[in-house]
Amino acid sequence: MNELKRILLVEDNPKDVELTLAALAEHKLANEVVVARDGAEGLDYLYRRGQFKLRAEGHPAVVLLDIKMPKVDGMEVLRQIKSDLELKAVPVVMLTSSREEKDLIASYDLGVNAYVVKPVNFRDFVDAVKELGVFWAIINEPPPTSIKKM
Amino acid sequence: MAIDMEKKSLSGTLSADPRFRTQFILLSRLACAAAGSLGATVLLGWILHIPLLESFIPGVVAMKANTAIAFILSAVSVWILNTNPEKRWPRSVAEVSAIITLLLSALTLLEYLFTADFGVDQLLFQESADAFGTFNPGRMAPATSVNFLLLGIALLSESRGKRKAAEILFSIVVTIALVTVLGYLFDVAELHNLGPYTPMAWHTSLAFIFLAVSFFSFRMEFNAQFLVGAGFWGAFVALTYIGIISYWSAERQSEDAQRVAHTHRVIEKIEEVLSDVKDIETGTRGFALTGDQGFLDPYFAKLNTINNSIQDLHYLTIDNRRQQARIDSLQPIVAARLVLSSELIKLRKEKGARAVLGWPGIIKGRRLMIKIREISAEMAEAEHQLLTQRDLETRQSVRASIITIFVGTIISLSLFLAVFYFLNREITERRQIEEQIRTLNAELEQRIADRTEELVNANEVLRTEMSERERAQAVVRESEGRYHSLFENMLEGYAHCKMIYEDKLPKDFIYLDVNIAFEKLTGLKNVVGKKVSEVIPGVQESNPELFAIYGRVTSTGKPEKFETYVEGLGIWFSISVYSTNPGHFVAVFDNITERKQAEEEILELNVRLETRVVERTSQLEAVNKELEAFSYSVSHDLRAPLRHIDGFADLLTKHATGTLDEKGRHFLHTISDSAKQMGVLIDELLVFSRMGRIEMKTREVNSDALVRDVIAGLIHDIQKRKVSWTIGVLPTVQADPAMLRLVYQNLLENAIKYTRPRENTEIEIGTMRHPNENDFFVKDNGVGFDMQYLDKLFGVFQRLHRVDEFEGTGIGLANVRRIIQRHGGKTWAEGKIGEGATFYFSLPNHQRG
Repeated sequence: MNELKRILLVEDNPKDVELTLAALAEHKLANEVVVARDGAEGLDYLYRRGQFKLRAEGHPAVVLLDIKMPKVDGMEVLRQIKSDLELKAVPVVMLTSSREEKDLIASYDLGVNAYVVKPVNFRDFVDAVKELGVFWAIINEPPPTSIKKM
Repeated sequence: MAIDMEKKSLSGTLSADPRFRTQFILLSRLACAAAGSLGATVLLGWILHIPLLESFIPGVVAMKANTAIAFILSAVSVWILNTNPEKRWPRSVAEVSAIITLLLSALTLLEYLFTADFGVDQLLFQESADAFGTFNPGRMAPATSVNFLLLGIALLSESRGKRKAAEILFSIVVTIALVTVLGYLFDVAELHNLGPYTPMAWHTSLAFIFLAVSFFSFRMEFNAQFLVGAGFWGAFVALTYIGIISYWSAERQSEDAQRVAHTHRVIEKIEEVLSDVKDIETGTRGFALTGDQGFLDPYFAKLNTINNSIQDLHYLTIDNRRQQARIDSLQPIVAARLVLSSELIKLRKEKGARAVLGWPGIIKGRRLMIKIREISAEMAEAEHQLLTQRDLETRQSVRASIITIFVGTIISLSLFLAVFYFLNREITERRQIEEQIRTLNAELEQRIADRTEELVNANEVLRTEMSERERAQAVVRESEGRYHSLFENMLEGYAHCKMIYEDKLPKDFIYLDVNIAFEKLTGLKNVVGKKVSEVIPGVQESNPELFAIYGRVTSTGKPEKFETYVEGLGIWFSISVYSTNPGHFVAVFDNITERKQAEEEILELNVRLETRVVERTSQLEAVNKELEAFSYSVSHDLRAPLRHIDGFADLLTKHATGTLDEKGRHFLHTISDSAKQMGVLIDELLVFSRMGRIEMKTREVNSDALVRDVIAGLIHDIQKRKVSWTIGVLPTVQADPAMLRLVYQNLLENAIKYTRPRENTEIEIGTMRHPNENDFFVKDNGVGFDMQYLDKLFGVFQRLHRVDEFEGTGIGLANVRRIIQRHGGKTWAEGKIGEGATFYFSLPNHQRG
């Protein structure tokens, strides 16, 4: 269990990707962070298809998912993960700007594991990302099937 | 009621005493049985030839067989009549028995009357001709047959319901029987032995008495009439008996006197004979001594009379055999003496005086003379004895008569006294009753007078009522006139109709009466007497509801009001229907076509309006959706760049720490601050927007608890301040609890914020109740505000203070206003710079509304 766990970040906005990665780096979470630029890419990664066809087997320790994305949005990705028998054990954290009630309700209905509103204040954001990374990638014990050697 | 009771007590004294009723019935049965068994016993004696059973006492006259049979029949008849049978046949038996008795006695009486023999006497049994006291063997005594004749008639009368006749006849029967019994008791043969006929036997008379006792005791009533009748009858019997006894006594006394005279005559005659004999002897002796012819004159005179005297004596004592015998023995002696006398006279004449002396005939004559004297003395003695005996008998019978008369008189007197007592009591009672009746009558009359007066009063009242009624009728007539004018002049149409039913369903109706307005409103003329189906053809098809409603009102009697369109007339009617009497109804109606048209226009307008509302609503909904989408994008997309600005500013600060001077760091800091500020504004705007959109969840909210909870959440803001809270009694309200909490939170936060400069903060939360709403207020002693900016107070992002004075975005009161408006309430405020502010809001009282 000393192996490092991979974090899948599904985020279409490169600025957000950069800030998120910066926040994670600041806390030296050395895990490999895989970035998918939209929902479709995120699903490709999870199902090892397209550009991720050749990736090593195993599921990420956690999926950080933005909601508003072109092509396949975060809700659809979440729905597919949680309705797949193999994937549904993978923890999914919504990382979004929206604090709309309906998004919250829809996410929890689909079985999201956590819902985090990205604060405007960057320091708050750094703290939130740090806590997320620490909790899901280090503290949380993943299901047996999630990570295998790459 | 009182009168009835009086009557009862009056009749009670006259009616039979029920206590003795059973005893008398028992007595009646016993007496009847006694009479019957007496007859049966005697008949048994005749059948078995036992004379003792026929007469009961040896040597007295026997009861005849016919009598016995008649008694058995009579007893049967009396017994049956006493039971008073309902059925026909027992009564027939009683009557047949009575008729047989009657025939038997009647035939016997006829035999007596015609001295004939019809063969009824010895029909069943033979009686010897020398039976004691019997003149006609086997024939009942005349008195007995008379009694049976009366008895037979009496029983027939009783059977035919003629009680009075029966009672009288029974009284006669018992009188005859009683007299006979008394005759036996006082040994007065004349009472039962009438001439040369068979007397009534003593037990026959007893049996008659038994039958009478049976008859009367059964019918015994202790009323005055019966007692007086019985008393008088008893007195009559007693007096009759006294009369008979008196007559018999007088008769006997005169007879005795004759007998005494007769005895004296007999004695006289005896002495006459003796004297004659003596005279003859003396004459003979004188002639014999003297030879004087003169001495012989008495001799010859007496010689002629003496035989006549003896003959007289013989005749006088003809009923006395002993005296007759004496006379018979006297006669030859007297004759012998007379012979001796004539021989002496002859001797003297022939032989002279000397021859007479020593004649043996003298001694013989003397002896004969002594004998004559003896017999005469004997005869006189016998007569004297007879006289003495007769005197004794007469005296005895006189004494018996006196006693009988005395006793009878006492009895009859007692009876009369008893009758007098009864009558007197009866009269007294009657008088008392009459007095009572008079009193009652007087009371009754008083009552009648009272009642009459009441009736007179009632009449008066009635007359007053009648005159009032007349007045009322006049009023009614007047009212009728008014109603008629109403009927004729009213603007509504009026139709009185009669329902026509087909198969018990209301199918048509006839107009019986309509007013003038009817024509004006319907345009129909001369409808009275016509059917509606004739007046408005096709109405039954076009307006079936008309008949349904009219039929319902006619059958239930409940008035109804409805509106309908009559196609045949092209008119809308408003119709009120009521039922006057079964099968009839009255319709009062108005033409409401114009109103209906207006209504229809309104309806049309309404429909159009509604369409527009729907259109507008959908437009608004679309706008709302757009707004939602807008706010969503604001929330999501607007915040992202701000975040990026802050993020990269931060990264830049770190990255260029060495190269940036103080000014550069200030700029980066300002960029970061502005981005954060804008983030806060966006967040608050989103909250405000949501307040207008989210669904309200209204329920009962305890304002007091809510306020205290909100204050508790603010404690850490005022830790170092002196705040005195005044909280009034806050009511329970209908509201969305989360929203109301936000209201209080904003108002209290403001109060705390704007009182910060004050050393002693005073915040008051209170309420003012009104009928339909509750006003709430939060009052502080803070910096206050200028009333001229009041209208800006509740605007979005409107502020009356600079941020460096009091932080804030200016959204709080806008939220308060929006929330209160959504609850149907109002918000307002009062304030003055430096003197604090009061914020009000009202909530409608839904519980009462």
